[in-house]
Amino acid sequence: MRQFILRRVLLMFPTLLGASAVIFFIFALTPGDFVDGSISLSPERALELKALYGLDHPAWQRYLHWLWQLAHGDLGFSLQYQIPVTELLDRYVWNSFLLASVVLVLYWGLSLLIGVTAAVRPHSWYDRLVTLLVFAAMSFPVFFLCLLLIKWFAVDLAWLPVGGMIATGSESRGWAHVLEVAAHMVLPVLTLVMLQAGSLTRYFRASMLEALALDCVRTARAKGLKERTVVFKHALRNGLLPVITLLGFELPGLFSGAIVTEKLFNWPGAGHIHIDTLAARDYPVLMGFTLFLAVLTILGNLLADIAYALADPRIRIR
Amino acid sequence: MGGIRFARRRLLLAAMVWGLGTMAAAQAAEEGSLRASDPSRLPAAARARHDVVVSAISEPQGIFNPYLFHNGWDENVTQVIFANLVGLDRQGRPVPQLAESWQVSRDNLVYTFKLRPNLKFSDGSPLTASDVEFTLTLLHDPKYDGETDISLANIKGGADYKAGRAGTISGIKVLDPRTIRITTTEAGAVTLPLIGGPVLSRAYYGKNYTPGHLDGVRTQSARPLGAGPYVYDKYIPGQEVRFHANPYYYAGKPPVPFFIYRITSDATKLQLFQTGEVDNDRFSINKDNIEQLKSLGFANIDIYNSSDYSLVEFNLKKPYLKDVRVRQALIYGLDRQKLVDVVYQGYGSVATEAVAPGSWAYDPSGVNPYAYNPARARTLLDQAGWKVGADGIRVKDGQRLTLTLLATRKLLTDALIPIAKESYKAIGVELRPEVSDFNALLAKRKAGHYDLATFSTSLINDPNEGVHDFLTSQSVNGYHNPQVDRLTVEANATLDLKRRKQLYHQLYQVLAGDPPVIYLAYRKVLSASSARISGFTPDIYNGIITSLPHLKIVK
Amino acid sequence: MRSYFNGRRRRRQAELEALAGTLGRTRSPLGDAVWRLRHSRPALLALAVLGLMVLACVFGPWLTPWQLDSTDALLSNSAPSARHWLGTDFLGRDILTRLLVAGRISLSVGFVSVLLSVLLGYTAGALAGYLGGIVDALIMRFADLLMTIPSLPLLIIMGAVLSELKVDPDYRIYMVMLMLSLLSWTSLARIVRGQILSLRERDFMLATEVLGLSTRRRLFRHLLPNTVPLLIVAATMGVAGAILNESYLSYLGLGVVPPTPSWGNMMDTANSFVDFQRRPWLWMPPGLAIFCTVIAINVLGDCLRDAIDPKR
Repeated sequence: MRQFILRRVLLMFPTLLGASAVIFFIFALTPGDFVDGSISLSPERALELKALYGLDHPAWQRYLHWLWQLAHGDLGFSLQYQIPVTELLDRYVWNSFLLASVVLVLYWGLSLLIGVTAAVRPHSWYDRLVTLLVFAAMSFPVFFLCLLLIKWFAVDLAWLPVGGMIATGSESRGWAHVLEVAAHMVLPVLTLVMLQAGSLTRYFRASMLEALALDCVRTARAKGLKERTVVFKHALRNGLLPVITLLGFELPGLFSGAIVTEKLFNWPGAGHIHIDTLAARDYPVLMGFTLFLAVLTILGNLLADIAYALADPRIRIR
Repeated sequence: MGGIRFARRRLLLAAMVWGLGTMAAAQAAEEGSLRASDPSRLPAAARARHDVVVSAISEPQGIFNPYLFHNGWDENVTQVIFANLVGLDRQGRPVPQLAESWQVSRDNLVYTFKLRPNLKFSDGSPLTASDVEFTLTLLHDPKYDGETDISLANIKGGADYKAGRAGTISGIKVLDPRTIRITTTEAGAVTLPLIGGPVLSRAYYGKNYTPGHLDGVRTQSARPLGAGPYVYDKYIPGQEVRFHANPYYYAGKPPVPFFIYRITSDATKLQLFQTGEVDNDRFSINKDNIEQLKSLGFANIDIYNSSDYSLVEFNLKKPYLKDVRVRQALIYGLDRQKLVDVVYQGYGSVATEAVAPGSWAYDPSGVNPYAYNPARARTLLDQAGWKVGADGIRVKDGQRLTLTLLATRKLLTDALIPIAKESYKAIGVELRPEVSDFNALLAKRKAGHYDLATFSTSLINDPNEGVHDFLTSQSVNGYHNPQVDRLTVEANATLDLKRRKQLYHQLYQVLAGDPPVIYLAYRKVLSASSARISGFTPDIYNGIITSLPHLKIVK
Repeated sequence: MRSYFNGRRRRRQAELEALAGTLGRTRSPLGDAVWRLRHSRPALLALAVLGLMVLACVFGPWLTPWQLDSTDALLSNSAPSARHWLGTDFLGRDILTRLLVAGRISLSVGFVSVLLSVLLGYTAGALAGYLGGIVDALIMRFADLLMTIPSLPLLIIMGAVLSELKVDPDYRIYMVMLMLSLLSWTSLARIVRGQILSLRERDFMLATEVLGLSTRRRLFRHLLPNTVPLLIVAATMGVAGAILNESYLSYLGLGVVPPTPSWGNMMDTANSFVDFQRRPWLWMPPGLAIFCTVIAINVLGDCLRDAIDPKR
């Protein structure tokens, strides 16, 4: 096991290096650069600026330069925000993390509960209703849900704020601040949970259905164990297994931010960085952010593999 | 029977809508404001604020330096914090701000500014001609990468300083603490706004600055210091920017102690306004939004002309678009009135020249409006030798008249593409739309891989900005017309507004005869403010900035 | 809660009886599956709905009196009426006609892209899980690499290349979806691999080994059928995702080029709050169309699973 983890961690480095090269050249090939996006520049001024930003060098030179910087622990300087990339990420990523982690806990819990209960009584009315709701939520774009929640809870009922993370001009400290942020989080959390719980519920249901038909579950039933014990002790453990892989995928999602939801609720998260920096062709940020997420992606997969092996001792890791 | 009645009612309704559209076009130059019908319906959240005005902003990025920002929203923040030497009035004409007055020499080359007495930055330190000198010198730094292109002002010795051939700029001379003289080598209308911009403090920004190293100044973008109506307090990324009133503001301390820019997005700004979280915001202009705002009762609504406009650019490097008759046909053959009606619903008008209504230079008389006329378009194409082929698309020398149109995804193009496709098909032209993001559009345009490209101009303060790109030396699309070159240069070198207006009028007529672009639409801007605040008089050149010192909270 | 589980126990009784009944029949497993599918009412209903939608989208546009792109500024945003059954959009275009034409694109995009990514992901995952060793390591590290590549810039480049190559805008969306499939098979591959890893060590698989069954038989008759449920979930989720994704892509100029309609971009143009509140005819029809498609596929998938499940 130890050797397995060590090997995989070491393998991360060449994978990441390959990824960074691929990512960099994809960005370099994207039509237009940071200077091209400004329509009112005179041709001479545009050339001057390209030289200032080093955009006049060939892509491979820029990549090596970037790599060299990275080796010194420097992710570079954002062209449009004019602050170090790490500072920029630090500014927004934690807000996204706060939102996403609460959402993660809630929707995994909810999906587990709904998926398992639906699987225990397949094709019942309850199961059908859940299925219908899940697919209804999937069939309409995110902004419909956001707008609907805002209309009901913020405008008509005035129970919750329309958007943002704190009330305008608020100077609250301590608990008052926590409560204020919590109130602003309710609607975005609700939206994201509703959107994401859908597919996970289906996975849990499918996986659980399989588990309930397993021999060990039959044996447990044959032994005359209580149905509840059968479901939650024997079947659930087996049913959870395939879904663990999905948990690994969540790691980068915790930091990447939800683009549409964050925008509609004015949540100051990292979601808009994707769009903004791509639109402006702000390469240092694009590279830094993508690489950060790449590390998390690979790490998430590794963790999932380890968790998988721990949860199911039958699996032999080589 | 019922069916007939139904149809008639719809016809009537249709006539009304049509009437609205044409009426609005006729009154395009007029501005309007609607006062709140029932201020008592003010939401509690707004009522609870006693000492602060909350306005809205979209996406500031935190670079609060008037010469370093890369984004118009950051500019809006700096306008609150910094004051200009010279400002603009409601028609875009220069007016004194920090400068009490200025004189221009007879040859239009030498500017002498006289500052107001006892000017101070918001920290109480004096603002003098030396600060203006510092600002202009900083802009000539070889490492300066901001949006301001000072070289257009042609300050004497500026290029030498930038190239490192001189230690100071010979054209900038401080005569006394209240007087500064700027000598230029070329006369130009763009010079005054460039040299009369926001003033940076030498004491504050100079302490971290050595020529060739802007990083010190850059780090101060997060802690700006200026002489504007409000003083910067705090920026909470993604949330809001907070300010307090500047006691040293030249026109007196603003009556409302605090000001906040709250960040809002298109999808929910109406809801934020409705619940009282913001006091002022701008909205997409359409009947839905206006009705919604009116129904609130507590909204003061302002509708005014924007200074930008939308257009479709011809690529004149393509031989078939070199023919002026083809270009004219493409204008006659496009139903622009339909576009304006659908998108702006009566709050916009068909554009005819490179300046929007509301500018002092706007004068559509005698400029060919190219009213929709498909028959004329067909005749012109026939004359140009494009004959209708078997499938209805015109052909010349074996080449089909198929045109690619570069566009980005937005409401205007969502309407333009179907309308253009339909109306061009009717005159025998096939349209192939290509949608991409804006940066890619500009890259494709630069590479010349297009026939038509549609986009909107940025806000235009001076009419020169609208025609500058048609100069042979500047044009991306290969436009070349000696008469246009001559008039553009002459109009820019003339400082007398009356004479300039004549020259631009002449230029617009010439441009209409040999069109480099299809002007699509002028639009209006919809702004609303809460009835609890008085004094909002927004216009396109200043936004709400000139209103800030006059705002009052109504008791 | 108790009665809930009691009910489950009763149902087991019924299952046993049904099982006893089927034991007497002799049919090949495949024939058995088809038989069961043909006698499942929900499956037939779902098939009928899908078939009807496909037929309507293929032939419907020829039957409506309205031209797809003919605009009418005087009739913009009008409510459903006898002339325009589903109303008109902001340009006065007939929604019904657009809905049907959009269906052609959205349905084919949904199916094609999902088919491809499921095929790729499933094959890769099954190979990695079953063969293990160096094959597993190669496939999974390659998948890791692919997962780190951000799709947005890649798609923007692709849009530029396609326009450079003068590919007809109407076909570009398929190429883009192809590209997305090539990027998105990785997650399914990981899921399938994970499950196969665990199935491989289960008793029944050990039994097949002991019995000396051929690799092909073990793989196709015993191992893979057990992964079908997850596959079906992934596929149904994928179809809805792909249809909605298309509208997001067209934002970047990578999806369908306007004025060609798709269900995604029809809903997208009605994204203002006022449209949402007052003009349901703008977004309800495409939304319901996606909903029906997804539900039908899901029901079909569930029945399919039941039909081929070796344990039932």
